[in-house]
Amino acid sequence: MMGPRAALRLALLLFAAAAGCSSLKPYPSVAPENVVVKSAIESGSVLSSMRGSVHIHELDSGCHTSYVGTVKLDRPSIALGLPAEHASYLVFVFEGSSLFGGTTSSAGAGTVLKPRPGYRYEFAVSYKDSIYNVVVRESDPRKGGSRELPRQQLRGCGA
Amino acid sequence: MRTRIACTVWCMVLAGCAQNYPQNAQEFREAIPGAFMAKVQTFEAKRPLRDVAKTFQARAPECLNVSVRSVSQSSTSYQNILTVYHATVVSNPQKAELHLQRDFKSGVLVPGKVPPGGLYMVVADATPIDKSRTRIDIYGPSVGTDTLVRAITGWATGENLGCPDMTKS
Repeated sequence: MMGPRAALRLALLLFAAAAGCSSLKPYPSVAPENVVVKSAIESGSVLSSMRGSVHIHELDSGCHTSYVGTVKLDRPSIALGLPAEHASYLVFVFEGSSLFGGTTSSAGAGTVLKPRPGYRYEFAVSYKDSIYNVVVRESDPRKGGSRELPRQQLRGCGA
Repeated sequence: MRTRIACTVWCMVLAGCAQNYPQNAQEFREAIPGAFMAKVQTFEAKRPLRDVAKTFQARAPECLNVSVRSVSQSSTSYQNILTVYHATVVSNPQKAELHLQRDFKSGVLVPGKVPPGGLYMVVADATPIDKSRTRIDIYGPSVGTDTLVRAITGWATGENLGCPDMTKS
């Protein structure tokens, strides 16, 4: 469960993203590419548009975040690398804007992920008719099979 | 933004534009039938109560405990509203309840006594019809909460576990 401080922190991150902060930078290429983000994002209206992106933060042992970069979800499938055995905090942001200008809004979901070496992770990200979903699955290419991981909030990252 | 203002106005109408906001979920349920622009929506979910309760417990905190900041600006006005939503799920073998409260942290002056956690926005009750079906009653405003009600409906039926975009509520 997201506590008020975590919720506020996420809101500030979203607000910063919505405000078009100039500090946003592309997420660097990291090998191996162990994460795939599959996204389907629709605004549901001809009068507005919706964009998706994921902001990636490193997490230290004290669960403090350090912004690394942003990946725009402008293609149905995007591969990226997250360092194995290091916790990252991923914030998926859906940013809407009116075609006539003046109105922007952003919503989003954050999750902590600590990739295991040799495993692959697939995020299924959707936004349709003002309802969004982020589901992450972990698979082991050596053994096959996959399992859904619960979204982990920042508050529980030390556990 | 428009729906947020509509909902805020509605909360005040529900309270009779005075200080008598519902202070708990039961008072909110009792206030809805006679309130302006408010309604109770009822439907049947073809799932047992325990499954509905489990989904409410899993999805409500993750999706609804969020903060939303709205900023709007024109040549003559500027609004900066921070709203913190607070979801509570209460369940037992006979019933599951989802309460959603809205707490305006800045940008809105609420004239009256606000209950702990904020003004009640929506209350959803799940009660068993039989072993495999559950009745859902959603109490809330008749405008401005369409996305939220669709999300709760998706959780109850198990057909869509997505989160509502609370910037649209």
